[in-house]
Amino acid sequence: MKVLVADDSGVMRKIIIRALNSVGVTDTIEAANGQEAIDAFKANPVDMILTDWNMPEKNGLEVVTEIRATGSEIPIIMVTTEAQKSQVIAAIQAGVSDYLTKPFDSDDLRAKLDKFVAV
Amino acid sequence: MSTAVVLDPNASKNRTVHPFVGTFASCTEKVFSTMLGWDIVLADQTQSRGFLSKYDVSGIIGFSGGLRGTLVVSCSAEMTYSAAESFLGARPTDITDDVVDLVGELTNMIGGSSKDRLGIAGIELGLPAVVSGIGHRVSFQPSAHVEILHFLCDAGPFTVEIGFRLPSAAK
Repeated sequence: MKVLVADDSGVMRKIIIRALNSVGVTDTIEAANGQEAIDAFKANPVDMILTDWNMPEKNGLEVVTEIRATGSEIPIIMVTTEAQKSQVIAAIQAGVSDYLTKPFDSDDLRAKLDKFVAV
Repeated sequence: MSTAVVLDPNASKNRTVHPFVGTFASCTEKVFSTMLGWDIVLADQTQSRGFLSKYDVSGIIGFSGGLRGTLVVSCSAEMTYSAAESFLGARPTDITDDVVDLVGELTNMIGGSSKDRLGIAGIELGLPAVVSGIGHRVSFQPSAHVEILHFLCDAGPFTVEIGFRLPSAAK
Protein backbone atom coordinates (compact mmCIF):
# COMPACT_ATOMS: atom_id res chain seq x y z
CA MET A 1 0.00 0.00 0.00
CA LYS A 2 1.37 3.40 -1.03
CA VAL A 3 0.19 6.56 0.71
CA LEU A 4 0.69 10.19 -0.29
CA VAL A 5 1.07 12.48 2.74
CA ALA A 6 0.47 16.18 2.10
CA ASP A 7 1.16 18.75 4.83
CA ASP A 8 3.15 21.98 4.83
CA SER A 9 4.65 21.04 8.21
CA GLY A 10 7.67 18.79 7.85
CA VAL A 11 7.26 17.66 11.43
CA MET A 12 3.60 16.79 10.91
CA ARG A 13 4.51 14.75 7.83
CA LYS A 14 7.02 12.85 9.97
CA ILE A 15 4.38 12.31 12.67
CA ILE A 16 1.88 10.98 10.15
CA ILE A 17 4.45 8.75 8.48
CA ARG A 18 5.54 7.38 11.84
CA ALA A 19 1.90 6.59 12.61
CA LEU A 20 1.54 4.93 9.20
CA ASN A 21 4.68 2.88 9.82
CA SER A 22 3.26 1.74 13.16
CA VAL A 23 0.24 0.26 11.40
CA GLY A 24 2.31 -1.42 8.69
CA VAL A 25 2.33 1.21 5.95
CA THR A 26 5.93 1.90 4.99
CA ASP A 27 5.65 3.03 1.37
CA THR A 28 4.94 6.75 1.49
CA ILE A 29 5.38 9.87 -0.61
CA GLU A 30 5.52 13.37 0.87
CA ALA A 31 4.19 16.67 -0.47
CA ALA A 32 4.79 20.01 1.24
CA ASN A 33 1.97 21.95 -0.41
CA GLY A 34 -1.18 21.44 -2.41
CA GLN A 35 0.39 21.73 -5.83
CA GLU A 36 3.12 19.24 -4.91
CA ALA A 37 0.38 16.89 -3.75
CA ILE A 38 -1.44 17.11 -7.07
CA ASP A 39 1.79 16.67 -9.02
CA ALA A 40 2.76 13.65 -6.88
CA PHE A 41 -0.68 12.09 -7.37
CA LYS A 42 -0.38 12.42 -11.14
CA ALA A 43 3.17 11.04 -11.21
CA ASN A 44 2.80 8.13 -8.78
CA PRO A 45 0.30 5.26 -8.44
CA VAL A 46 -0.81 5.78 -4.83
CA ASP A 47 -3.52 3.90 -2.98
CA MET A 48 -4.58 6.63 -0.56
CA ILE A 49 -4.00 10.30 0.16
CA LEU A 50 -3.76 11.93 3.57
CA THR A 51 -3.91 15.69 3.23
CA ASP A 52 -3.88 18.67 5.53
CA TRP A 53 -6.42 21.45 4.98
CA ASN A 54 -4.33 24.61 5.32
CA MET A 55 -1.41 24.48 2.91
CA PRO A 56 0.31 26.97 0.61
CA GLU A 57 -0.07 26.91 -3.18
CA LYS A 58 -3.35 24.99 -2.99
CA ASN A 59 -5.17 24.02 0.18
CA GLY A 60 -6.47 20.55 0.96
CA LEU A 61 -9.95 21.34 -0.26
CA GLU A 62 -8.57 22.44 -3.62
CA VAL A 63 -6.43 19.31 -3.79
CA VAL A 64 -9.48 17.12 -3.22
CA THR A 65 -11.55 19.03 -5.77
CA GLU A 66 -8.86 18.81 -8.42
CA ILE A 67 -8.20 15.12 -7.90
CA ARG A 68 -11.89 14.28 -7.99
CA ALA A 69 -12.19 16.25 -11.22
CA THR A 70 -9.90 13.68 -12.86
CA GLY A 71 -12.48 11.01 -12.11
CA SER A 72 -10.31 9.35 -9.48
CA GLU A 73 -12.09 7.63 -6.64
CA ILE A 74 -8.94 7.16 -4.59
CA PRO A 75 -9.57 7.34 -0.82
CA ILE A 76 -8.67 10.82 0.43
CA ILE A 77 -8.57 11.49 4.16
CA MET A 78 -8.41 15.07 5.40
CA VAL A 79 -6.06 15.29 8.42
CA THR A 80 -6.60 18.62 10.12
CA THR A 81 -7.50 20.58 13.22
CA GLU A 82 -10.47 22.07 11.37
CA ALA A 83 -13.36 20.08 12.77
CA GLN A 84 -16.33 22.42 12.76
CA LYS A 85 -19.45 21.06 11.15
CA SER A 86 -19.44 23.54 8.27
CA GLN A 87 -15.88 22.62 7.39
CA VAL A 88 -16.54 18.91 7.54
CA ILE A 89 -19.55 19.37 5.26
CA ALA A 90 -17.47 21.39 2.81
CA ALA A 91 -14.82 18.69 2.76
CA ILE A 92 -17.34 15.92 2.16
CA GLN A 93 -19.02 17.91 -0.61
CA ALA A 94 -15.63 18.35 -2.25
CA GLY A 95 -15.18 14.59 -2.28
CA VAL A 96 -13.20 13.77 0.86
CA SER A 97 -13.62 10.11 1.82
CA ASP A 98 -13.11 10.66 5.54
CA TYR A 99 -11.87 13.06 8.14
CA LEU A 100 -9.16 12.65 10.81
CA THR A 101 -8.85 15.42 13.35
CA LYS A 102 -5.58 16.34 15.03
CA PRO A 103 -4.51 15.22 17.55
CA PHE A 104 -4.82 11.56 16.60
CA ASP A 105 -3.04 8.38 17.59
CA SER A 106 -2.11 5.29 15.58
CA ASP A 107 -5.37 3.55 16.56
CA ASP A 108 -7.38 6.47 15.15
CA LEU A 109 -5.38 6.31 11.93
CA ARG A 110 -5.65 2.54 11.70
CA ALA A 111 -9.44 2.77 12.01
CA LYS A 112 -9.57 5.20 9.09
CA LEU A 113 -7.24 3.14 6.90
CA ASP A 114 -9.16 -0.07 7.56
CA LYS A 115 -12.33 1.48 6.15
CA PHE A 116 -10.83 1.79 2.70
CA VAL A 117 -7.93 -0.56 2.11
CA ALA A 118 -6.47 -3.73 3.55
CA VAL A 119 -3.21 -2.87 5.29
CA MET B 1 20.10 27.08 28.90
CA SER B 2 16.55 26.71 30.21
CA THR B 3 15.15 28.75 33.03
CA ALA B 4 13.31 27.08 35.85
CA VAL B 5 9.77 28.17 36.53
CA VAL B 6 9.58 30.59 39.46
CA LEU B 7 6.16 31.44 40.74
CA ASP B 8 5.88 34.79 42.46
CA PRO B 9 4.75 33.97 46.00
CA ASN B 10 2.90 37.28 46.09
CA ALA B 11 0.80 36.51 43.02
CA SER B 12 -2.83 36.14 43.89
CA LYS B 13 -4.30 32.76 43.19
CA ASN B 14 -7.90 33.38 42.34
CA ARG B 15 -9.72 30.27 43.46
CA THR B 16 -12.49 30.92 40.95
CA VAL B 17 -11.09 29.37 37.80
CA HIS B 18 -12.74 30.17 34.49
CA PRO B 19 -14.64 27.19 32.98
CA PHE B 20 -12.52 27.41 29.84
CA VAL B 21 -9.51 26.25 31.81
CA GLY B 22 -10.65 22.66 32.04
CA THR B 23 -11.12 22.44 28.28
CA PHE B 24 -7.67 23.79 27.49
CA ALA B 25 -6.11 21.56 30.14
CA SER B 26 -7.70 18.37 28.86
CA CYS B 27 -6.93 19.22 25.24
CA THR B 28 -3.30 19.90 26.12
CA GLU B 29 -3.07 16.55 27.84
CA LYS B 30 -4.59 14.81 24.83
CA VAL B 31 -2.26 16.48 22.35
CA PHE B 32 0.84 15.52 24.30
CA SER B 33 -0.43 12.02 24.94
CA THR B 34 -1.53 11.16 21.40
CA MET B 35 1.09 13.00 19.37
CA LEU B 36 4.17 12.61 21.58
CA GLY B 37 3.18 9.71 23.80
CA TRP B 38 3.98 11.86 26.84
CA ASP B 39 2.15 11.88 30.14
CA ILE B 40 1.86 15.39 31.51
CA VAL B 41 0.55 16.64 34.83
CA LEU B 42 -1.31 19.87 35.49
CA ALA B 43 0.65 21.06 38.50
CA ASP B 44 -0.96 24.45 39.08
CA GLN B 45 -3.32 27.06 37.71
CA THR B 46 -2.76 30.75 38.22
CA GLN B 47 -3.84 34.03 36.71
CA SER B 48 -1.71 36.87 35.52
CA ARG B 49 -0.08 39.52 37.68
CA GLY B 50 3.17 38.46 39.25
CA PHE B 51 3.88 35.52 37.00
CA LEU B 52 7.64 35.44 36.62
CA SER B 53 8.51 32.41 34.57
CA LYS B 54 10.62 32.76 31.48
CA TYR B 55 10.97 30.27 28.70
CA ASP B 56 12.97 29.70 25.56
CA VAL B 57 10.31 28.86 22.96
CA SER B 58 6.68 29.99 22.76
CA GLY B 59 4.00 29.00 20.29
CA ILE B 60 1.33 31.67 19.88
CA ILE B 61 -2.03 31.45 18.17
CA GLY B 62 -4.97 33.82 18.14
CA PHE B 63 -8.70 33.30 18.46
CA SER B 64 -11.32 35.53 16.87
CA GLY B 65 -15.01 35.57 16.19
CA GLY B 66 -17.00 34.00 19.01
CA LEU B 67 -14.05 34.30 21.40
CA ARG B 68 -11.27 36.85 21.12
CA GLY B 69 -8.01 35.84 22.67
CA THR B 70 -4.57 34.33 22.40
CA LEU B 71 -3.14 30.98 23.35
CA VAL B 72 0.53 30.75 24.28
CA VAL B 73 2.41 27.50 24.83
CA SER B 74 5.84 28.06 26.39
CA CYS B 75 8.61 25.66 27.24
CA SER B 76 12.35 25.29 27.55
CA ALA B 77 14.60 24.64 24.61
CA GLU B 78 15.61 21.32 26.17
CA MET B 79 12.02 20.19 26.22
CA THR B 80 11.59 20.98 22.54
CA TYR B 81 14.75 19.02 21.78
CA SER B 82 13.31 16.00 23.61
CA ALA B 83 10.08 16.28 21.67
CA ALA B 84 11.82 16.72 18.33
CA GLU B 85 14.26 13.87 18.95
CA SER B 86 11.51 11.28 18.71
CA PHE B 87 10.67 12.40 15.17
CA LEU B 88 14.04 13.39 13.83
CA GLY B 89 16.09 10.46 15.11
CA ALA B 90 18.69 12.84 16.49
CA ARG B 91 18.46 15.33 19.33
CA PRO B 92 18.70 18.92 18.13
CA THR B 93 21.21 21.14 19.87
CA ASP B 94 19.67 24.40 18.74
CA ILE B 95 16.22 25.79 18.08
CA THR B 96 16.08 24.65 14.46
CA ASP B 97 13.35 25.05 11.86
CA ASP B 98 12.06 21.58 12.79
CA VAL B 99 11.84 22.58 16.45
CA VAL B 100 9.94 25.74 15.54
CA ASP B 101 7.68 23.70 13.29
CA LEU B 102 6.93 21.23 16.09
CA VAL B 103 6.07 23.91 18.63
CA GLY B 104 3.82 25.61 16.10
CA GLU B 105 2.01 22.37 15.34
CA LEU B 106 1.50 21.51 19.01
CA THR B 107 0.14 25.00 19.64
CA ASN B 108 -2.14 24.71 16.61
CA MET B 109 -3.49 21.37 17.81
CA ILE B 110 -4.12 22.57 21.36
CA GLY B 111 -5.88 25.64 20.01
CA GLY B 112 -7.83 23.77 17.37
CA SER B 113 -9.06 20.97 19.59
CA SER B 114 -9.92 23.39 22.39
CA LYS B 115 -11.96 25.79 20.27
CA ASP B 116 -14.26 22.97 19.14
CA ARG B 117 -14.99 22.04 22.76
CA LEU B 118 -15.58 25.43 24.35
CA GLY B 119 -19.26 25.47 23.44
CA ILE B 120 -19.01 28.83 21.71
CA ALA B 121 -20.07 29.16 18.09
CA GLY B 122 -18.07 30.93 15.43
CA ILE B 123 -14.56 30.76 16.90
CA GLU B 124 -11.88 31.17 14.26
CA LEU B 125 -8.28 30.16 14.80
CA GLY B 126 -5.38 32.15 13.43
CA LEU B 127 -2.10 30.85 12.12
CA PRO B 128 0.44 29.81 14.74
CA ALA B 129 3.60 31.80 15.24
CA VAL B 130 6.65 30.80 17.25
CA VAL B 131 8.90 33.04 19.28
CA SER B 132 12.32 31.71 20.19
CA GLY B 133 14.73 33.46 22.50
CA ILE B 134 16.35 32.34 25.71
CA GLY B 135 14.51 33.71 28.72
CA HIS B 136 11.82 35.62 26.82
CA ARG B 137 8.45 36.56 28.22
CA VAL B 138 5.10 36.85 26.51
CA SER B 139 2.74 39.42 28.01
CA PHE B 140 -0.95 40.05 27.51
CA GLN B 141 -2.78 43.35 27.44
CA PRO B 142 -4.01 44.48 30.87
CA SER B 143 -7.61 44.17 29.66
CA ALA B 144 -7.27 40.45 28.95
CA HIS B 145 -8.45 37.82 31.39
CA VAL B 146 -5.50 35.44 31.63
CA GLU B 147 -5.42 31.89 32.88
CA ILE B 148 -2.06 30.13 33.21
CA LEU B 149 -1.79 26.36 33.28
CA HIS B 150 1.46 25.03 34.70
CA PHE B 151 2.29 21.56 33.45
CA LEU B 152 5.05 19.14 34.36
CA CYS B 153 6.44 16.25 32.35
CA ASP B 154 9.61 14.17 32.28
CA ALA B 155 11.16 16.67 29.89
CA GLY B 156 10.51 19.59 32.21
CA PRO B 157 7.87 22.22 33.01
CA PHE B 158 5.88 24.17 30.47
CA THR B 159 2.91 26.50 30.48
CA VAL B 160 -0.24 27.01 28.48
CA GLU B 161 -1.55 30.55 28.83
CA ILE B 162 -4.92 31.68 27.62
CA GLY B 163 -5.64 35.38 27.49
CA PHE B 164 -9.08 36.40 26.31
CA ARG B 165 -11.90 38.88 26.46
CA LEU B 166 -14.71 37.34 28.40
CA PRO B 167 -17.79 36.83 26.20
CA SER B 168 -20.57 38.96 27.63
CA ALA B 169 -22.77 35.91 28.22
CA ALA B 170 -20.02 34.12 30.13
CA LYS B 171 -19.17 36.94 32.56
